[in-house]
Amino acid sequence: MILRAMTTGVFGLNRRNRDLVLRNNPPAAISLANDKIATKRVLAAAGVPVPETIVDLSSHRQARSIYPLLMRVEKGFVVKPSHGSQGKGITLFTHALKDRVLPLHGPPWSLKEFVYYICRILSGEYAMGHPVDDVLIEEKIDPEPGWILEDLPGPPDLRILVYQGDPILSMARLPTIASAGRANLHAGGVGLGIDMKTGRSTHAILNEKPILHHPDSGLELIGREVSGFAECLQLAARCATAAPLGYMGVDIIRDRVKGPVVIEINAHPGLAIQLANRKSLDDALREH
Amino acid sequence: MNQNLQDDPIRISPLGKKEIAIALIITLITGALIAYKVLALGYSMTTIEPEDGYSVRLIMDVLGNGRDCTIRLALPVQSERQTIIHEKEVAQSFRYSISPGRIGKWYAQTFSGKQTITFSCLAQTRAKTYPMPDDADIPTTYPVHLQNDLIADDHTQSKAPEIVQKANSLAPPGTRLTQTLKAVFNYCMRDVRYMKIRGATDAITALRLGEASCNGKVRLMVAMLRAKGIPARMANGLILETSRKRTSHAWVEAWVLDRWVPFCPTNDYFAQIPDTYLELAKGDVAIITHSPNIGFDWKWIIHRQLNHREKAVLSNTEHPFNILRAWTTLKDYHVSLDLIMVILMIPIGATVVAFARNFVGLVPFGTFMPALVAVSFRDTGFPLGAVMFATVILVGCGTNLLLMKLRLLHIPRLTIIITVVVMSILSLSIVCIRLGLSSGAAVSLFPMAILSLTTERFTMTMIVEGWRDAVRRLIVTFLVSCICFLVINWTFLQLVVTAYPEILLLNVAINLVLGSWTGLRLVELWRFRDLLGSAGAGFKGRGAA
Repeated sequence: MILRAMTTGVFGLNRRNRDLVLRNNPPAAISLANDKIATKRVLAAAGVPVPETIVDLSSHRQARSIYPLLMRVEKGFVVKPSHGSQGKGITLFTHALKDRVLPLHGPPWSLKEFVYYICRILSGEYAMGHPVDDVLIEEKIDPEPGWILEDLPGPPDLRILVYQGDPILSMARLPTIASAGRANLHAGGVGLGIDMKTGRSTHAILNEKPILHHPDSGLELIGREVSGFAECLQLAARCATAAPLGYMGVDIIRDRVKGPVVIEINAHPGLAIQLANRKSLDDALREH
Repeated sequence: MNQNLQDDPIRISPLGKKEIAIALIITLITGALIAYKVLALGYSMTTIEPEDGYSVRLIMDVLGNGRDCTIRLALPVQSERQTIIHEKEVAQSFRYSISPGRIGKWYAQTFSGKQTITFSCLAQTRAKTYPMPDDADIPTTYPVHLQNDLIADDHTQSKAPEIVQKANSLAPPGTRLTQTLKAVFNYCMRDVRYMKIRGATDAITALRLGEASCNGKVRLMVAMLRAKGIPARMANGLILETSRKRTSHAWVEAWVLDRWVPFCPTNDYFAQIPDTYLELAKGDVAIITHSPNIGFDWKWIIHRQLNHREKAVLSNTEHPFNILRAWTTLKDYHVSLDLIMVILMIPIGATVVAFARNFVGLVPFGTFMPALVAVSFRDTGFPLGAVMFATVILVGCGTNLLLMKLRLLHIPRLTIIITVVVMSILSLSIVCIRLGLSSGAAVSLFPMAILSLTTERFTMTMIVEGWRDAVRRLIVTFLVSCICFLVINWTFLQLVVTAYPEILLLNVAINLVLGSWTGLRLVELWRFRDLLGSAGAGFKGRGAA
């Protein structure tokens, strides 16, 4: 009985790794996807809209010299470890002032704290296994208000799974107060299964359990339409032609001016998307 | 839409056919190799069945002044409960002989200067319990050879009124044999308190003080038994435990229905002898004696070993047609069999980790960390190992949190953690040795660098994911380590793998199959219980409850 339950169409980590990742994603492509700076270069070359890069940093010496550059940024900026995963080590800032840096959440940082944070990223703190890392600083997206759902404590994003060039499953990820504004499910974000044909939400999960209403605003989660869903699917498919990954997750945010922007691609996308859609990957693969 | 069905991820079989085929071939090869060894070379498993034993070594330093010098040692005797093998002595200018009473004698004429004499053997001893008669009276006559064990002597004053009176009050005349023994034994065991006293205590002193070390208790019991007309004598020997010591141990032997029966009033063994007692001398004599006017010092070095293991594994390799004479080669270069065993068990520990991860879904910190922690548990022993594990994580995590405040960069910070971890492990070991909780061997292999990295992962998980997740994974790590320990510490498995190292090929086969298993992990059954439909009905039901 247990063995039968283990071998239904629901994909676990074993099957994802062996039948999807190892089969479709060559090691070089995986290491490309794990490097945000390299990925961005490839995507931009293929005409995929990505956030504007302010600066890439690879040495501790630059940590101070780039600061004047940041002081000129008006719309806010995001600091990302190039090899980070699951959104770890990413911080959003609104302004870089003369003597302090203002993050989107929490109290102001001193300059010293900011430089230390950059150095920690460069020393590989968030790059599990890598001894060094690069820092990617890009312009903060100006998220389109009310995309997918109103009254969120941060911008939502759309994760689309692409298998051999075809989008097969998608999930919107909504931040909550508990997730500190992050859209990551591990951090406590809401996952919203999106029907591939209609672009409407079908099911929702929070911490892998089904829910019907957003925990903060109480807004209905089911039946929401993702505006511009078709455009997002095209964008995801285009990512698949740009990066040599046969199986990947594409994360998209909608900018007020630029429309959908790809913020990240993932060579090992998580499996909770099955729970959010109440559909096994096996079924999704059969349907595509 | 999928042209190539072979590449279709929508498959029914959760195991790879190719992998299973290769695994089967490897299994057959392994079987053939073992069969060749057993059938053609005459390997046998029975010879390598483990038998516990102790290596006993006596080191005597002798300082002579130019005169005759004699040293005598009561040698361990063969008996039905005591097997002595590999008896060996090394002395430079002394002549060695063994007298019929199993007394080893070293003699040198006009000996001066300093020399070291060593005696060593492997002792296998078993526990034995003797049945006691319920209704036998104390006999009135005994064979002649027991007369010496009935009379009083300087230290065993069985004629002294105090002793006789005490013996009679414990067991009034007419009390049966077993009951008399029981009464006297209980008095010496319970009412005479145990005191660590150096030197000899005679029977009267022990009675008057109400406290004595083992030899005082023994003399008192012997004296009272003789006063009651039961032949009794002192037995001298060693307690076998991994240690270096000078002290020997004494217990009582009483004549019960035609044989000597042991009693230990110090450690409460009535008509039984535990497996750790090594019998050396009978009667109130010293185990070691030496001529006067020489400088003399000695120590016993005892450690436990599976003593047939090495011999058997090596004897299996002696066959002329054996193409796998690896052990003899390694042995010639002084690689210890124990080290080889540990090395052989590491891949097996790794399989346990792989199984825990890919089949059960227990993901520890650090890929093979549990296997290495398990190896270190072998050295420290389990309880101390567990304490060390907890200490390292606590101390390391505390240090890490403090260092984070200082904004140190990654690698120097880790280096400081390793340093603190090493210091705390060393101090902990010293404390444990002082308290007598462990022997010095405990320090050796504890994987400090790896544990320091675990500490770092633990701290990072705590900061990023919260302490609940961190503690959960730490418990998982510890649990997997324990399971690894149980597996690699399984003596039978160790012996089989050492005798037939080709079994490691099976390890490859197992992992070929495990590595092609694409079913859900056990913990994922729970995670995806809502999606499993009728196949997961059992889990769904529990999920709703």
